[in-house]
Amino acid sequence: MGSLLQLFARLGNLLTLLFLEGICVMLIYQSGPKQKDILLNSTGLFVNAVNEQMSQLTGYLNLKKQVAELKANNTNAHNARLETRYDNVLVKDTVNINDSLYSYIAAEVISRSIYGANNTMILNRGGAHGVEKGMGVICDQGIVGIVQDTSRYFSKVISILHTKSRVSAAVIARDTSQEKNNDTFGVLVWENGHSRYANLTDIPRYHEVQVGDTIQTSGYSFAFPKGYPIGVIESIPGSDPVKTSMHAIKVRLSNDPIRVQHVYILKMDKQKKEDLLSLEKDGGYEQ
Amino acid sequence: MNSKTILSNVLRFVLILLVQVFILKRIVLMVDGRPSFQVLLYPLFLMILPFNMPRIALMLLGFLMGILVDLFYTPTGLHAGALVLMAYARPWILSFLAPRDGYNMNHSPTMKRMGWPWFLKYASSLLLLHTFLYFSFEAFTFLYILEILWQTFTSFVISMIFIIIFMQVFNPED
Repeated sequence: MGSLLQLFARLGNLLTLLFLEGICVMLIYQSGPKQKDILLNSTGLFVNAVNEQMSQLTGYLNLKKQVAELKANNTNAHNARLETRYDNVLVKDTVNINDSLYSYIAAEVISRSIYGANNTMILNRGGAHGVEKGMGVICDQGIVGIVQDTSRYFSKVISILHTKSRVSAAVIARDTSQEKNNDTFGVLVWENGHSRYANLTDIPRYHEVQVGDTIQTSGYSFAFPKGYPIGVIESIPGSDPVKTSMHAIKVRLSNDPIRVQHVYILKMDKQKKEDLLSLEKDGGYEQ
Repeated sequence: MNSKTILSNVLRFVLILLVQVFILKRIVLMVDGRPSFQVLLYPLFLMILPFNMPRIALMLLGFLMGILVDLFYTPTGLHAGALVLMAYARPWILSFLAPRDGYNMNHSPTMKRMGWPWFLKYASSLLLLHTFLYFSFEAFTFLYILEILWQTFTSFVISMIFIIIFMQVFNPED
């Protein structure tokens, strides 16, 4: 016992350092790839409540700007309610055309990681309001992220400005006069760079893409409906350094995901989702 | 350390924490379309603790401060991790910058006690260390070394300005 105390007297500082750093590194690691986070547990609820109060308080400061944004949003909603488009033109005789595939849950960002390689945000809507893991989050001008985790009253969103975010995206050719269909699909990623630019990968080099082509959601996941705007191609610097047979494409995002305040969570109609899932489970390609 | 020093340090702890999480957290400047720095004032609390604080106490206080800041930022150990390492390094920096006749161990390393040039040297070395550690922890890899260095530089400059302002406004003796 005595020698143990002597050891501590000699190495106590170093041991304390290693112990505390161990805790910190564990916390950093857990909040990263393993997607566990303490914010959504007990301590988080208190801090969230404080943050929400603060957010309400400071919300008054840019009220004017928010009102303008909401007005624009309303106009858009009146003009284009087809953002949730459920493409059923061919079967309009048998299917109710007013059916919508997605419904919106309006939410507000109450806390966010300010910037960095892995951006996340907390919304003031949670399981009690019908938010579930995996739902897409959009704002008026573009897409924002995907719900990673929900608690009863709050949910955590992985921003598209997160190094682990992957969103299926379609390139819509600007020049529609060409006969052939140039639309193609890739994956939108973000590599810790400029907050207004993302990268589009997995587009084969034999596909011609042009600067100015529009990038939209592809509709190949439950998170986002088809055809929601993401951005336009800013430049095509060359081939992907890792996958050399693919383009490296720089996309200018149509929104500013760092600053977004009012967002909408996209809730897919439950029955249709189950319908789709059961179809996929049948395994159409199996022999 | 007398009771007056303890009281002023406790008050400073609370004040710096509140300023950090409710005001400085909101300061974001877009440079080139990208928020380019973090304003980190809270290391100041650890810098101006008295000379005779033992290293263990420095690290534990650093951990407490860091974890509380972390709760209001992204919920990770980023701030705590960097601050504990900074606390560990403080005695080294102090011995490196020691004047010829040593320190008065009952005093604190403040601007008023040690003078302008000394304090600037001292605070900037610790702050530079802290910001570099913070952004390294955030990236968790040195793959992004250029981004880390750039963010370290900008955050260091801006945070230093806030530390100087804080010291000018309160100008604490101990």
